[in-house]
Amino acid sequence: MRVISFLLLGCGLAWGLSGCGGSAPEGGTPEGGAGTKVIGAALLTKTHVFYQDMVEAMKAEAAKNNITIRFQFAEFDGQKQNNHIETFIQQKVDALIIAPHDSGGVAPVIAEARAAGIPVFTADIAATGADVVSHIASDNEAGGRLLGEYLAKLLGGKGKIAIIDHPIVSSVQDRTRGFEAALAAFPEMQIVQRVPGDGQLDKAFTATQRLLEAQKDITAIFGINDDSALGALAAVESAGLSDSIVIVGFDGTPEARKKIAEGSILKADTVQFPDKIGTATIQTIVRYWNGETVPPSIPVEVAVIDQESLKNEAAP
Amino acid sequence: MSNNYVLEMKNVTKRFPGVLALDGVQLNLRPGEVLCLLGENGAGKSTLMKILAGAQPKDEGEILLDGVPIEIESPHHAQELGISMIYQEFNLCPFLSVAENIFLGREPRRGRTPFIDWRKLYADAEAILQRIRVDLDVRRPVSELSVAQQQMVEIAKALSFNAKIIVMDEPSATLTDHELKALFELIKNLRRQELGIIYISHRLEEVFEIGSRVTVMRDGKYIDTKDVIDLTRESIIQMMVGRELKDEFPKVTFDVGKERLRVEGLTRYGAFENVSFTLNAGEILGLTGLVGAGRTEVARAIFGADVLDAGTIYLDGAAVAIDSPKEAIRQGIGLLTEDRKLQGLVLGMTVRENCTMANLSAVVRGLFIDRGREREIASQYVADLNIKTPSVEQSAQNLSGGNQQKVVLAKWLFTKSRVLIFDEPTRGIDVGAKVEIYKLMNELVRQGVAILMISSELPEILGMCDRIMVMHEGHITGTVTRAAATQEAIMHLATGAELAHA
Amino acid sequence: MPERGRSFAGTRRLVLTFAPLLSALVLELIVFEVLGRRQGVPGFASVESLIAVLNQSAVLGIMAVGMTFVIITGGIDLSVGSIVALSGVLCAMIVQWGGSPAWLWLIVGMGAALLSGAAAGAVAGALVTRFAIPPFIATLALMSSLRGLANLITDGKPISDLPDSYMYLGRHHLVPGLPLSVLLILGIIVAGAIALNHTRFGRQVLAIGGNEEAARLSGVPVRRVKFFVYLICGVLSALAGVILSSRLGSGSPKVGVADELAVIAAVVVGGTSLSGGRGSIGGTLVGLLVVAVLNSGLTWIGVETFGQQVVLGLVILGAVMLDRLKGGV
Repeated sequence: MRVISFLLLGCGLAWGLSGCGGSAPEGGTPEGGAGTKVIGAALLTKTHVFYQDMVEAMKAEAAKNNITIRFQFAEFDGQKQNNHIETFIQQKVDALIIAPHDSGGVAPVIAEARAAGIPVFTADIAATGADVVSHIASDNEAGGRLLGEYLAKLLGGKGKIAIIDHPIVSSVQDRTRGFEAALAAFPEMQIVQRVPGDGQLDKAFTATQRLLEAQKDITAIFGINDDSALGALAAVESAGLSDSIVIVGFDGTPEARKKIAEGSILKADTVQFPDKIGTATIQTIVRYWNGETVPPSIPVEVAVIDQESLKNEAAP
Repeated sequence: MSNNYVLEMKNVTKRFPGVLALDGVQLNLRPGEVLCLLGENGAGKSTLMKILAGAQPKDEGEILLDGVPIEIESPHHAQELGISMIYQEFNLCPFLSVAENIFLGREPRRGRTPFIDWRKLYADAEAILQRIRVDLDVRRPVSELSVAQQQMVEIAKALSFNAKIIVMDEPSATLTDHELKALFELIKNLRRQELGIIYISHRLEEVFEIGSRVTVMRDGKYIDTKDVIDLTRESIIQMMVGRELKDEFPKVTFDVGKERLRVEGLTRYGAFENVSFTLNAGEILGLTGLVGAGRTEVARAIFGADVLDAGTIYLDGAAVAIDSPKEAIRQGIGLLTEDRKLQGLVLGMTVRENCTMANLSAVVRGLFIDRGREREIASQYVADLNIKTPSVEQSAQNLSGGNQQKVVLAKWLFTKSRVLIFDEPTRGIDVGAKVEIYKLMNELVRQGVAILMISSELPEILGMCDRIMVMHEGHITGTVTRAAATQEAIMHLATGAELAHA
Repeated sequence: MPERGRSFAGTRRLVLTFAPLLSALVLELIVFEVLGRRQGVPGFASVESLIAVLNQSAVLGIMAVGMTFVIITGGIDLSVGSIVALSGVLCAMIVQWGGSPAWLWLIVGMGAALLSGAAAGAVAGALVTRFAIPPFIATLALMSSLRGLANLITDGKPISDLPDSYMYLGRHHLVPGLPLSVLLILGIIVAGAIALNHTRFGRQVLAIGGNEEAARLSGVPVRRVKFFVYLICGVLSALAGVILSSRLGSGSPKVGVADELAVIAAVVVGGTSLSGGRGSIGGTLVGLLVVAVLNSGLTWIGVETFGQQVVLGLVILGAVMLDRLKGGV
């Protein structure tokens, strides 16, 4: 009896979660009404503010266009994401949005979706070797280039630089490529080390600590996202090297903005506009459905913020 | 001795699905007496005691404590009423001290604080131990104590509940003779303090040593209660078995054949040294001695379960290297271990699976086990050995002790061993089943199997063995023939008092 | 004739044993179909979808067969998830490095991957039997070291850009609608069940779990049997790793994290006792399906990962309580 009641409790919970967590009924869309198109979105994670903002914009734009959108978040698990996408294929959704866990690891399942006649769009992170209608993402390369130029200006064209890296992700590869390209113009600016921080705060923290033990003469650190930059910031501060090192980050999360505005050694950030990515993705899908040709890559603008720009932002 | 009872159980009935476990049983206990509760395995003693301990509810009947009818709701309630059980397996926390164990869950505290008043805890524990004249350091962890000392702690714990009734279930099973004397001394102390004691044991000699009265049960029924002075060993057995048991030790002597097993200079440091003997076809060689003399260790070493430091084993005249039980079995040696639950059986497996476990290759066809053949074999042994089980697919844990031991026997019979070592084969088994096992040993010997029997029970050793070897502190102190053996002679050798030169 | 009667009784007992789990399975299918329909996505309780669930659980299922053997001996293997990652990246690296002909290098890669699993299992087995290290500790250490090794040889990056034939094992359909990996997992389950119930090895595994000392004293080569149990678990985990990497078309050192827990959950839900001696492969299959259908169904109706974790935990609890209930009778 206890077992049955447990199962019932579990089912009840599933019901509740599907109502609250699932997004199908949200945005006032009539559920599964005739003619309503359905999008399945298999995204990397829900734990990053970035993704939360992107998801909100997608929901809003979908509601505006009377589209049902269903979300699943792999939480960095490739096997799970694969299963999520397969479930969407079985449910015969009208389009797929994927933010891959690993750029190379979604090609087979995307092929399966294409075979089932479902158009696939990638958002934020690109897929390699896959037949994707369009990739919608921040212009990461431009973001990296802007940061490189900012740093060169700040340090007067010379310095020893470390990157808290996460090279698994193609958008990160774009960022570092742009960054390197910008520095190439300054022969006295050297990238002396790249350490993996997995894009996570705690790992970036320990990676930076180890880095600083080995290389005391670092003058600048580039964190490939804000968690990396904030982890590096904490490590530098606890090592007492705040006087000799500056940091730049990527994403412009509220914590990072706060640190920049305070005048900490986190000097600048490239801000992405996840909401713009979300909106652009849905708009691209709608255009595709309407028979328009859409470009294979849709870069979404980015910008650099520093203490100065934040002050201006707050002023008016 | 007064006639007002501290405990009366009247007309107690207990049904299990398909079985009437207790059928109108009665039991009376006076303060200050030792009531021996006797009966074969399955007679219903344990069920009756579980009801008394509050571990199981009764279906019918009445229980009176000091003449007042009571309902015992739980083991905890029983303790509060002054009824304490000392089981074979102790309920002690090994890493807590003696005092902590005695007052577990009832530790004295400092005023209303949550902190334990250690001084009072130790003083109270010492007071209780003094009452039963036991000398133990109350600060020592229980894990450092001997089995006998742990038993004392259990008894002290029972007394700390102000017990009026103490039930002891086979308290002597794991004790040495010396420890047993101490236990009897303690029981006498408890009697003087007007406690009622219910004593369960299979050893009838103990009944005559400390019992006041005897209550006998058989097949879930009450048979009779009598004063010990009015009883003889034979009359007790007759009450228990329900018929006259003609011969407790049905020994048959055969012609001794050629040498089967010979060991020379076996040594395992710390356990035994320089053990040599010969075992011939057609004989039962007894190996006895006090607990801890190294008997079991010798058996395990011959069987390859423990490593030998020195010595040679000869089988049928040829030296053999035995490095594992697997190899011993291959060479034709079997070992019935002393603890059937821990070492003899896989309790969760069926009778069938246990029967074939030591000789699986005999039931394997190609890659697979032939279950049909297994079933035939197990059924044959169930019939031959008179194993009481509803089917060979019954799980071994559901069998009574005697029947479990017979399954272990079946396992070794199926290996067709030429040498069988029986380590305490009848421990904890009732009289009827014992005789069946002795008869089976006779049959094996007739077939030419050589048997080495380890036992602490002198009557059994004297009754069944052709020659008797005695060990003391890891050495063989002497070997006597059946004709020349007496209890006294063996005890002398066992205590190391005198080396044999007969 | 009595033979037949007995085996019928055996079948009936089997059905009775699994009745609660099977009804849980049916209940899941009904609940998710109903909830799915309310959201406009019918079709969860269909053959295609069940095959898809089996396909998705092939990786965990293959590991679960090996884990069942390990747990029946009273052991545990926490290293399976790391073996999945290591074998996957090894296979992918070798195929990428070898180039053409792809089929040849695929065979070499798979062979190497399976060997790596065998080696990992052998190390675990040796640690447990020769050095008497508790299985939990030994395989916990391996879990960390093997994960590290997988990251080390790939520098933490996934190996993709593999030839199409790489996806054969994980994605090929023998008949349309019937993936190769589903056949593979069913085959392994049947083989595992026969090995456990009808061979000497299986009997010895059960005996060791039931009472190791009694088994040893009955001539069961306890060390050898335990060693093989870990070896088998290692090889099966490696096979699972190869299949997963084939399904993803990439060998990633990050896959299989916490798979050991999912696998142990499936085995325990299937009625195998963590204290050893009792368990069945059939139970593991049903346990696996209960967990897999649950996960898949929750995805189907749009419950996200975090919510799935909560529900899964409750179901594991419920199943173990069921186990207690049975044990109590």
